[in-house]
Amino acid sequence: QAERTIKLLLEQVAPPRGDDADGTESNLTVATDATTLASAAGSAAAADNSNSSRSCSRLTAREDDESIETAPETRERGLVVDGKTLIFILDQRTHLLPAFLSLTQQCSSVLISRATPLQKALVVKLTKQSLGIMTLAVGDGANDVSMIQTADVGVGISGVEGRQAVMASDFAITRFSHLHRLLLLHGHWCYDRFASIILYYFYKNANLTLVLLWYQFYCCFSGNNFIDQMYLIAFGLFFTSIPPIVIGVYDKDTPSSVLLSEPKLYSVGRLNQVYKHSYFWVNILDAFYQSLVMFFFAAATHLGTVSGLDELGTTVMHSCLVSQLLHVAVEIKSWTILHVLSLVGSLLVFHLFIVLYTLTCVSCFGLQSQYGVWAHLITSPRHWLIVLITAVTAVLPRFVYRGLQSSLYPSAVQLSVLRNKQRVWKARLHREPHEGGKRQGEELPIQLISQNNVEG
Amino acid sequence: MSVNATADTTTRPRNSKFKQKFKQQRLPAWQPILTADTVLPAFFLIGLLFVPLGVALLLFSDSVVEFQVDYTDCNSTSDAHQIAVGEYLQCKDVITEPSFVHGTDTCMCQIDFTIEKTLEKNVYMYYGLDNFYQNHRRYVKSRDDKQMQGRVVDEPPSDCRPFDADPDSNEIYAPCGAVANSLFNDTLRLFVTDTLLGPQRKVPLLKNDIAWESDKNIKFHNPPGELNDSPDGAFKGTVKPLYWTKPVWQLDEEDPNNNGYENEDLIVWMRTAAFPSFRKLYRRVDHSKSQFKNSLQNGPYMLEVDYNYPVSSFGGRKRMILSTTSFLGGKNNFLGIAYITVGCICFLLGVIFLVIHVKFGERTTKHLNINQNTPYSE
Repeated sequence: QAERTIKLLLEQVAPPRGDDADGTESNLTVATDATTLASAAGSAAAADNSNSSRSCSRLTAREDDESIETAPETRERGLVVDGKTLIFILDQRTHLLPAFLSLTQQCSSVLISRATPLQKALVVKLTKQSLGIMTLAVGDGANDVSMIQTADVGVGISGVEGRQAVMASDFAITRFSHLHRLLLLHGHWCYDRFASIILYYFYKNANLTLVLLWYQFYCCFSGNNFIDQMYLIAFGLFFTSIPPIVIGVYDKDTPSSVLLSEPKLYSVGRLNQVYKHSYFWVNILDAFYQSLVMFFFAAATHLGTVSGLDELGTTVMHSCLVSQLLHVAVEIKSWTILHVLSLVGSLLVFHLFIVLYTLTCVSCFGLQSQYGVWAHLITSPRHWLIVLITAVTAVLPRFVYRGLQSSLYPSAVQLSVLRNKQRVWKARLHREPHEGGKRQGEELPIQLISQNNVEG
Repeated sequence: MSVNATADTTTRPRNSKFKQKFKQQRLPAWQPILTADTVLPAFFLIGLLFVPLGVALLLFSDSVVEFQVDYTDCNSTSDAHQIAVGEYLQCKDVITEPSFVHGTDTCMCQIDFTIEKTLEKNVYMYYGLDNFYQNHRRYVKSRDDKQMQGRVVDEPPSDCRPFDADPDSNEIYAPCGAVANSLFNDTLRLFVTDTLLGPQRKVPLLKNDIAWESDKNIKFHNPPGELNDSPDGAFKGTVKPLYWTKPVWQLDEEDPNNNGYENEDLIVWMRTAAFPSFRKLYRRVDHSKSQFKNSLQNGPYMLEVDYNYPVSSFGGRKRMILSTTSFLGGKNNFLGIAYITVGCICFLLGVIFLVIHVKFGERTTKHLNINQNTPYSE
């Protein structure tokens, strides 16, 4: 399998032989195909040099279908520039830069050789600014540091030329081939995880605050917290903080074999399809609805009864917690033992905290005494019934939406996962050893890949 | 030069397998995709579970019998409050007159009512208040739990102000705070008017075991000493709260276990209510007497009230409630209705998803089977 280039890569390669070391003339080799491009940039370039050869040089292997450079023709073309030419191009006085940039947009890849570190950084910066795209820079030597720091994402390769590049970079890898996994696997997962936990955090906090708001309608808007302050502190800190961390570290929306074999799934992250503005507002709306359910189910059950403030507050907090954990459970895309432990652990921490607090603290920190409230509630069937129905009703719309969306309008990622699942099941049914072996090969551990450098 | 950490793992077998898998993001995982067919069973399950549960809850709630008597506007029975023959002043106006001295003057009213349905054992008597915001923030804060635990306080907490100490003598109110100050002080008595039901006229009511055990045993405790304000008494140096007619050690002089801070009416009152319309347990019907052994029979009754508690200034209402209980508490239909509704909605969703799965299931499989030979759609 050929290695796939996804973004604009500026690489320092070995110096090309036959360099015009003595000539002041720069050697600009423009490899284009049709006259359309020649008119755009060739005129400018031709003015600078006398001979412009027309050869198509195929630098790297095939580009995937959805490339940033939306060239009307699907023919791949590459551009080779050397450092001396770049001096002219980057100089403001020649006004060549816009033409150069538009030319590069028509190419699948651009090779710049013999560039100074400053030039490298300058090219990255100019690409970022004028094209408005996200840039990634890979480098392994000290001369790549400025380029790495200028780009949005800097990847350093630790190896032969020392660790300066690594120290300046955002991500460090040990082999250039790891870039493949870094982007396709970890980049994809990272984006999806971030989207998940950011949406969840906004939901979590908006939810709890809104629940406190609804009570104000019943207490003259006097600002009474009907949930005890110790619970409010512990809620965000202990009860609901671990599951999102586990999601952020470990949730995989697609198995690695699928992502590696279908690189086009990377565009989900590139095109910002998991965290859109509308998703944020829908999420807040969901938080709003859930807070209504959490508060009013408990309130309607307690209205006009002998229930005190503490009982209502503790019941609402308990149902809030269970609903939020159930929400996390619906949002988890791949369940590992860590996910299970985090959810169970959160509930255990909650129960432990509340038992200790209500049994030991008769009146502490100047707060309202919660003594004996939990003992009273834990034996009350009404309390557990409220928690049950609140949790189910609160998460119901989200659950319905997820079921509908993946059945009627499945995303590319979901289709790939489903396809993969089908394939696995078929393989198991028909017991095809080939299928299993092939997948095994794709999932070689990292060290094997680095040693064999299997890329061909 | 740099030795890869990843290469080391092959030479360091001591790294546990779990840790190795964790670091390489290879922990075994279960990946459910929530499609219509996987989500279906959940809906039917919830529907099947919730609807019968809701029905059962409604049945339980219906089995609770409850009667309410609103006595806010009741008329005085005393001749002193007579304005015309057969016409008496309302007690709520009598007690707000400036000449009325709380503690010495009284206003008593009697209300006849009928209990239509027999209340089976155990019957409880509650008092209910409306438009009384016991959940207001400043009100809820205005109490001193440490004082109620029996610790001798020199300085009442600032939250108790302005009900912390007597402004003239600087003696601390016992108990301090607005919550204690507004203690409900009506006395309710119940009488059977139909003597055919039995010889006894007054319905026997018990005043113990109405507060939470945890409250009575731990949270509320009298300070050490005799229950009086003598120099070596429990409440020395204190004075009765502003609106009370008698000091805290005279709340129940017949029963020393129910006196002082441990008075159960006080304890019940101190547990602040969640909503502006609430009820609190007042008394329990004593079912040990033969006439009331199993129930409170239906028939005509009379409620006699020592009307002391002023609620008209804030538009409040007062009620007496007689009720039985179920294992869910008092009469409340909401939970049963909610369960039935959610159960039905889930069942409906299950049916919808079934339809979707049957109708659109092919669409997904078509998506999955796209390969190079698939023709373009029309």
